[in-house]
Amino acid sequence: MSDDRRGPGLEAVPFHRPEPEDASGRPAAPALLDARGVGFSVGRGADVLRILHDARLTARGHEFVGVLGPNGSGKTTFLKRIAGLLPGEGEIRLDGRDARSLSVRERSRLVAFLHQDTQVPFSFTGREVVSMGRHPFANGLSAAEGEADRKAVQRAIQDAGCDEFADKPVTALSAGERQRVMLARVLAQDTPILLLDEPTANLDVLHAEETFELLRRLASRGRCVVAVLHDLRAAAKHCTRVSLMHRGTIVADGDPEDVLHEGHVAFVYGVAARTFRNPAGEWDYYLP
Amino acid sequence: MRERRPRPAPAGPSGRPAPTAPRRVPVAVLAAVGGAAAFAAAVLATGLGTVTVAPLEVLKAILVGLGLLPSSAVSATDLAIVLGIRLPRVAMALVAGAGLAVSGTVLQGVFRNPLADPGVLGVATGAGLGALLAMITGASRVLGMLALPAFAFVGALLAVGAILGVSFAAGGQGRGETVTLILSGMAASAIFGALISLAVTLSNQYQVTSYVFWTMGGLANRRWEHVLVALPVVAIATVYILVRARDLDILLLGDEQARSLGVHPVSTRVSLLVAAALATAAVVAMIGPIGFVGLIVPHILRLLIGPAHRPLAVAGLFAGGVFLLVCDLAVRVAARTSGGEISAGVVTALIGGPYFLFLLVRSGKGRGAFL
Repeated sequence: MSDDRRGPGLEAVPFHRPEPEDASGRPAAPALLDARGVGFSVGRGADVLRILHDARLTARGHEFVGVLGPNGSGKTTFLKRIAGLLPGEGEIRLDGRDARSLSVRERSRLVAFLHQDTQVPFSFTGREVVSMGRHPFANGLSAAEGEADRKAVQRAIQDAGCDEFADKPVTALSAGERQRVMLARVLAQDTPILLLDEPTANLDVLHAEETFELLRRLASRGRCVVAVLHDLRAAAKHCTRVSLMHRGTIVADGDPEDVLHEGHVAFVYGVAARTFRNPAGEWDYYLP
Repeated sequence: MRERRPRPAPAGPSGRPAPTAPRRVPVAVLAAVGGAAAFAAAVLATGLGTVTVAPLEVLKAILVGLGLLPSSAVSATDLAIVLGIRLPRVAMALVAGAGLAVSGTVLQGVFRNPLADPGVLGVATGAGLGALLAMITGASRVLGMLALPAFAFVGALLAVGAILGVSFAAGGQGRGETVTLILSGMAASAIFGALISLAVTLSNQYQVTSYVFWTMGGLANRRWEHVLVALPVVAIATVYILVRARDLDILLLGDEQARSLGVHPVSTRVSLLVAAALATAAVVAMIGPIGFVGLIVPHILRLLIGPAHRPLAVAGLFAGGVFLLVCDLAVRVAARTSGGEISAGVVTALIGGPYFLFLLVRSGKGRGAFL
């Protein structure tokens, strides 16, 4: 890691870590997700480009962590490294187990991953795509899905708000509808850890809000939810914790309102934002 | 929680209401209906020919053949026509059509492209080159009937490997862009075709005759030993494909999605391609290159029963078999009036070629590719 990549001003950013206890003050469960020294590079030799270096993130059940940062800061790469979708350096523990020791299948029962956009080349229905989320629990040949699987699929479809178009071909859905189908697919996977890459990117304001409330509910019931987000207001409102990424590493981590202060936003995003309490009493910002 | 507002009815990307999906039929129903249809078609087709044998007599002859009826139940002529001449040809058509359709189903799924087919991708030509080499090296005399499919399998694998290699090199990560797929299939076909010409030129008269006879043969004069070589290979490949069909569905979501659902993308893709090559090779080695069955059958079935691969493969088994059987029947009927018999491959190409072009035009308009 060369120091010039960090740039000036980093020293001014406090690295805040929350106390390891849940809302009621009891000691929290051991971390479901513990990633340290995570890196990823492309190219080789002199042309090597480090997209991610020394990134770390610890998250427990009951937490909804927003990963924020400008375009190209490595958020998606970091999430994919945690999910085991990209190779690279770093120590990643999932539910206390070394991720490298997990088979693809074991990992798929621990971590679900929502991609930014998924194109399906054939006209599966939404329900068929969602039921693919049950694949980690399928045993071999059994063609028919069990009652438990069908229930899980139906619940996921309802939670993600796609009952109306669940039986339409996904190829005929709009980007937002398809994204909700994919969210339902992730929910059907029923994993303790959910990694979501911009879960609200294509959603209108109502469905974005509903999705945030759903994620918050999932966290409150004990899941560990980590989402890449761009909406600072929504992150401040819904996340229990925020991690700020800059040039391939995490530069600040903690309570949303501590992390998203004017200095950090100016340093990371390069905009002179002013923060304030909006009439609803929530954290908000504007660009003068 | 806020109260939920009423939402507008879901609409497709163009604003029109999204079309409904075709009804999903259970695999068991598909197997039962398909099996019954294939059996009925087989009995009828066996009865048709220069000498017509009534369906009941055909059934009786089959029972005699299975040892369930004494041979006195059917006339000796009918028995000879049914068991000795027509039934092996009919059975070969069913097995070959099934193998090609299942193989096409897998190729279309793996390459995420409804235009893939053993013929279009050069897999059949590769298998043909292998079969020719088995004939001219004399391996078919030493190893007998099994040499042809074994050599054909190697040729088919070479073709699949070449296309995968090109796809990876072109940055498609083993998925098939339409242009890359078709062009690499064309190139593979041309290269294997050139090698076939070279090998034919270098071989002697007897070998050339047997090769020409093999390529033109289609289903004419196919005997039980041909069926018995192809059937187990197609069966094994099909069983493997049915077991992995769900993984293939998930692979369509993309490699990373598949991985996050516990499906290993590369090993799934490669092992399914090997199974498809195996089925193609077994068929091509026995009846010569027959194109487009693997293209048309899965494609039409996908429109009827949806894209999930397990029902698609099960329905494809029967639909592919019946399709080739009907094409071969057309050949036989035509031969009765014209005297000379053409290959069933001519019929499948005359139907499949225009259908392929139609699909190509549609996918060019951005509609067909995502069927």
